[in-house]
Amino acid sequence: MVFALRSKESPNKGGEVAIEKDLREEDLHAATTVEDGPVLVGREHRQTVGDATVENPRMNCHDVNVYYGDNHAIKDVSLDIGRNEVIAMIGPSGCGKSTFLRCLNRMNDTIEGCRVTGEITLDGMNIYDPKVDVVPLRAQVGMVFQKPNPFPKSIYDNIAYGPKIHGLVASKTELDQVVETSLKKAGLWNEVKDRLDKPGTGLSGGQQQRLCIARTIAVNPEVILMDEPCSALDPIATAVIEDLIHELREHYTIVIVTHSMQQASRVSQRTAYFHLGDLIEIGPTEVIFTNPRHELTQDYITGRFG
Amino acid sequence: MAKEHTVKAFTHELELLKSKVFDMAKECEGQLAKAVHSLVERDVMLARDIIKGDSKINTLQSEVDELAIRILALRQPMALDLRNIVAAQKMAADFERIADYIANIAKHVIDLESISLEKPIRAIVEMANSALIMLRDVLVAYQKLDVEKAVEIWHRDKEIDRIYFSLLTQLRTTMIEDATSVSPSTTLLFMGRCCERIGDHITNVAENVEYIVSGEMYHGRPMQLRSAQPSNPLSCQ
Repeated sequence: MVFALRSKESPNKGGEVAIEKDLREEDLHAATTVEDGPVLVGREHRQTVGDATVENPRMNCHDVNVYYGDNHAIKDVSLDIGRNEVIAMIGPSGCGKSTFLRCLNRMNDTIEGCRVTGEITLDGMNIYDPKVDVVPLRAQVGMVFQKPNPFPKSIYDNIAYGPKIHGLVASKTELDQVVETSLKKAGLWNEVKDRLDKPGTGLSGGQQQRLCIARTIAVNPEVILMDEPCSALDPIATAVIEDLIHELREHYTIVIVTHSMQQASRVSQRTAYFHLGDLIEIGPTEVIFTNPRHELTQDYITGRFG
Repeated sequence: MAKEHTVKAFTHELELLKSKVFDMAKECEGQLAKAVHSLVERDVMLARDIIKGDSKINTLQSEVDELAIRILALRQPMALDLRNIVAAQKMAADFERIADYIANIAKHVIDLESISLEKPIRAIVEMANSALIMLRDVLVAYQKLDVEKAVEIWHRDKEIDRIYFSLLTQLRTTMIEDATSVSPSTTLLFMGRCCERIGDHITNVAENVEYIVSGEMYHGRPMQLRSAQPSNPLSCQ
């Protein structure tokens, strides 16, 4: 779709014929010249640019609309989320990226006056089906928040809580195993193995965030949603989390909302740009950051917003 | 239409960078125009001027590099801005090389006094003149980000290559026929070669104009015309 749009508007295509002919100077000038840079899809166009589909997606969102009362917060967004990919959602405040993220494990259900239409499937299952129990759904699609929010319990119990209530373990040995594996996967084991009985809230911010990631991992999720997971952390703790995201990708699908474009470009394979509730552009991260196709995307990532 | 950056200093830095690349190109154009004149008039004084003038272009290139690195480090440019900066740096490197070739040509103007091979000299003047026009036009293409024009200029390099090829054949024959002509012929060969290389660097600049606009890299493949290109035995890309 992008290319169709571009080829129609782009003056530099089809130059082949023109050059073969004897070119006159005025012909050259009659051809549309580009005065201001790349030919982009104009700001007034709000259909999604780029391929929103992937082969064999983990999650599929089709025509998703979200309303907070009369406020239409997400408008007809269709987007696939691939397996073992990190997809970043970027956009200015209020663009709907967090709202959309919360649709993916029905966290919007908890917000009064919030209505979601359209279809979202996880491995082919419609997660908005009335028969779906949101508790196991939120284990399958786990979430990590902006501010680390460990339970006011020991490090061990923070991890053990989920597997216990979901009945994923049969014995104490098995539970110990899950706690250890989860902390190892979250890259926290070596730092906390000697103080598992100490409160989780006593850890540093970066460690707390990794504890929250370990807690999410403990219940065998398929998808991990991260809402600004590093915005409360210092650059080193951020780098550790980003490194962790890179490793986790091997086993999980990760959807990350971030205000840091550098972070999006560092951790993700695909990037989605939201603007006032519309999914404006989706594409491979390197394309979005070097050669976006939509003017709004370009304005945002080059610091020309507003 | 690209808006101004929220951080206005960023816009100003990018404008400054572009203007420095323009200054380089303008200097090159002036140098090449002088070179053509000094070739035609066998003006040795003018040729000395050209040789002196080269350092100014080198200085400008360092300034472009420094500014570009500074912007890359401090602003983390993306998309169009990133492409503009990368292209500016590459173009500056091309202009610096072009200026070196012009100076090389100038260094041999003094030798022309003792060379009586008029036809090859005319060929060199013709090549230098074509390069001068290409250089002028590519500047306009860069200023207007006019891809059509850049592509058209890119293809003009073939004319320079054609003249160079015939110059080569001519000089080879001359050298075979007359052993005393080897020394002047190699001088002319060298000058011709410089002109031919200038043409190639101008095509690089044209490719960068296309890169700024479309984000597509050319890596030496023909612009737009991707098929039916006769293979050129003298292609020096």
